[in-house]
Amino acid sequence: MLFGVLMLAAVVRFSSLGWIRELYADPAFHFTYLGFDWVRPWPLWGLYLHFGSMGLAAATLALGFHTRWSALVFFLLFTYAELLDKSAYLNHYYLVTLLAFLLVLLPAGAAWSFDARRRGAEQRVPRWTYWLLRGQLFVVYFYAGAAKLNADWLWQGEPLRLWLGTFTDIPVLGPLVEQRWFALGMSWAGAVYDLSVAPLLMWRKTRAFAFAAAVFFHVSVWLLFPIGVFPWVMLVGATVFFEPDWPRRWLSRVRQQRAGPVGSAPTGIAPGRSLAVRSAERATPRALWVVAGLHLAVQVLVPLRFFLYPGWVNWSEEGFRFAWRVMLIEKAGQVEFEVVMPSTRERFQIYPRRELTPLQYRMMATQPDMIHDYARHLKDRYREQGHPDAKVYARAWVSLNGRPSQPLIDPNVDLGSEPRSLGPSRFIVPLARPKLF
Amino acid sequence: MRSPLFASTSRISRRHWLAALLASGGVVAACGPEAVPDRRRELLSSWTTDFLLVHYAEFTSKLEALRSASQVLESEPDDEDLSRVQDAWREARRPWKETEVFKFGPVVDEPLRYGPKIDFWPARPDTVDGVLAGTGTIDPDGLGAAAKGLPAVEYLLFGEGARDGFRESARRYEYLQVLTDDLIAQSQALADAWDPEGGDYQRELVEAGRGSSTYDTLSMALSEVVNRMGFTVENIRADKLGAGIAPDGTPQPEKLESRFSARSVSDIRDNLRGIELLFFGDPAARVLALDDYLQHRGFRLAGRMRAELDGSLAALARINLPLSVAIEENQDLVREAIDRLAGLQRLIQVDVIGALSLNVRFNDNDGD
Repeated sequence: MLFGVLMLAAVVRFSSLGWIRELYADPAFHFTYLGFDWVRPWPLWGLYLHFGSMGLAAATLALGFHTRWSALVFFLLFTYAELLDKSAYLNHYYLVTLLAFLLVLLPAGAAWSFDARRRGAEQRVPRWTYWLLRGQLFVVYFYAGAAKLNADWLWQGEPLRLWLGTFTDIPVLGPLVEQRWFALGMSWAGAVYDLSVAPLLMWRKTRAFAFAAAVFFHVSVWLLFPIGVFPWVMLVGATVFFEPDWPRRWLSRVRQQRAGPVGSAPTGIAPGRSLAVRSAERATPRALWVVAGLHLAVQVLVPLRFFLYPGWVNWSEEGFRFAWRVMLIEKAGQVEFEVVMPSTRERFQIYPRRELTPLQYRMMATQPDMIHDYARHLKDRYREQGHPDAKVYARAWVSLNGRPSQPLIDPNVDLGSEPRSLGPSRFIVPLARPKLF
Repeated sequence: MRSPLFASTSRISRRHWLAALLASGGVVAACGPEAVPDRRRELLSSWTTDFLLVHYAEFTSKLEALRSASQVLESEPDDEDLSRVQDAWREARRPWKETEVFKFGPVVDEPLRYGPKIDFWPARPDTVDGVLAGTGTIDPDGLGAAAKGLPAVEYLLFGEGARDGFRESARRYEYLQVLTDDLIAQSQALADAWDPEGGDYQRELVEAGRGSSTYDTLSMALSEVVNRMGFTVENIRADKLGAGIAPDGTPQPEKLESRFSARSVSDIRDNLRGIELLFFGDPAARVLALDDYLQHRGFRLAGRMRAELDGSLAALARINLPLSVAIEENQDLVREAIDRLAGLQRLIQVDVIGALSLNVRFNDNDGD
């Protein structure tokens, strides 16, 4: 229910801020994902319809009305939108996609839903369903913490030092936030939090403390950085670590307080009694177990794929997405392209800022695969104009976590002719100064 | 121009909440090091008061000098008369081009949008000739951007047969007077739009994060100006130099800025001088330096900036012909300048912006 409410709010906010047009309708070119080139934006009215339907699905999901179907529709519509353009990728959108997928599998409408009312009885849910959700969130937190175990984060306090330095005008703390010791303290606290919060939430004795820490952490991040609904998704997600009947116990307590010490209203199920029982577990189809197990295995393995690529993932970003590398790097980049046409001996510059939206340009300027995508787009454009031999070279310079700028892409490689693949990209120039200063 | 999406007044309370939250968490260390003052607000205040408004005032004053000088063109001007007026036009151009970094806010935003009224380029001779060929009263408010402003005046003063044009037609002089009067009015209105005692757009920058309706945070306001430095260099490379040569090498003089006056390269130098003044400051004029703030943040980029600026200016100096001629006779010099300026653009857009974490964040879709 909470997830549906949050998603409905997110869709309404997304639409009201004009981002449907800005992100999906305005761009003349879209950075598609490998294998998903067929995912294209609808005309503007279709996009509004798409997001309207998504909001409706979120609402029915919140109400528990045909919960599984609602989750499925929401999952498909949300995922389609996310696949439209890589420049709009956000880890928390990916998490929403995964959670929506899990809600298709799980009996999310077991209680407090229209579905339960229609059935006339609340359903008991197997224990493993909670553990699947907990496992998903454990993976998110664990990899987010593990990614922070690098020299920039732990010994230099970067990029937090750079980011906090922009907050020197806030009341009280302004003068402190740009000190390196402050950034280091925040960095270590962030890493410790990410690595420990999931286990601490699982253990009953530390759960209250861990949740309080989660509230403090996520609200602080929300106040400091513009990362949308992510903190709220994580806080809502953290409630799956509670005993499954926490909403009933909380409601019961509220009712008791309202009714006074005598005559509390019955809730139907005694406080403390869980809906998750062993008998329900036995009713779980074997296929569901397999899908759930596969899902968790994929979640554990996908973030580790960066080991298959050379160089530092924070620089090359090969294996960076879908790996919970959250709030980890500060990159500034500048890229332009040189087009050479051997047959006509023409050679000229392309300034991509003129075709791309500001967000697309900023994202592309620091991400090799997007630079590659755009080079191929240019190659296609000139091929269509009768220049099949056009070569496209990128001049891309990037600064990572405050280091001096250096080339990101080999300027001698014809990027337009490089194939798209999941393999290592030979055109990425390795980071020259892995250690800061 | 930022979208209304940035126009939020909730940030102040949000930032107070942040401070309260962190303080309540015991993060404030009573024994922390000495407080470091935030210099960004002073920087923005100095840039707008001591640089921008001073330059705009000088621009208006130079335009008034142009109007005075142009009176000699009313009757039978000779070459020397015309030359003096042309010099006055060139003089007026300098303070204006030095402020090109501030090509935002009242310069480009509706409804004010003074930029095109003052400097819509490249000049369109056909449009100006059309007005000259007319017979009705010349009303500046009825003229399109291409028929007025500095480029139209440039064409009247420097276009082929300009001297004889003034001798043979009173309308040319009348048109010039209307345009110079309008330029003075527009420059005053632009200055007024920034002036704290007028439209006070300056407040939008200086009061960012505490009442500005355009910039939610001080960082966004600083980011606006520093990003504009980078955009200015990119525009020089792409539009002021690059557009003069078609991909196949065909010269396109009609796309150049200030081509009739042969001031194209000087315009670029003035643009760079503006960037130099903001980066290194000007103690005599009390203009504070971005470099001081960078050093305060632990980044030493002054040496590289000096080298890039000097290298760029040297490359421009090697174009020892009017740009409209150079794109015909020696394109290599133009291309060398474009390449040399790439280093300056990169230094600003990557190193300076990266050091200060000033990437423009357009919305909270723009994160991790």
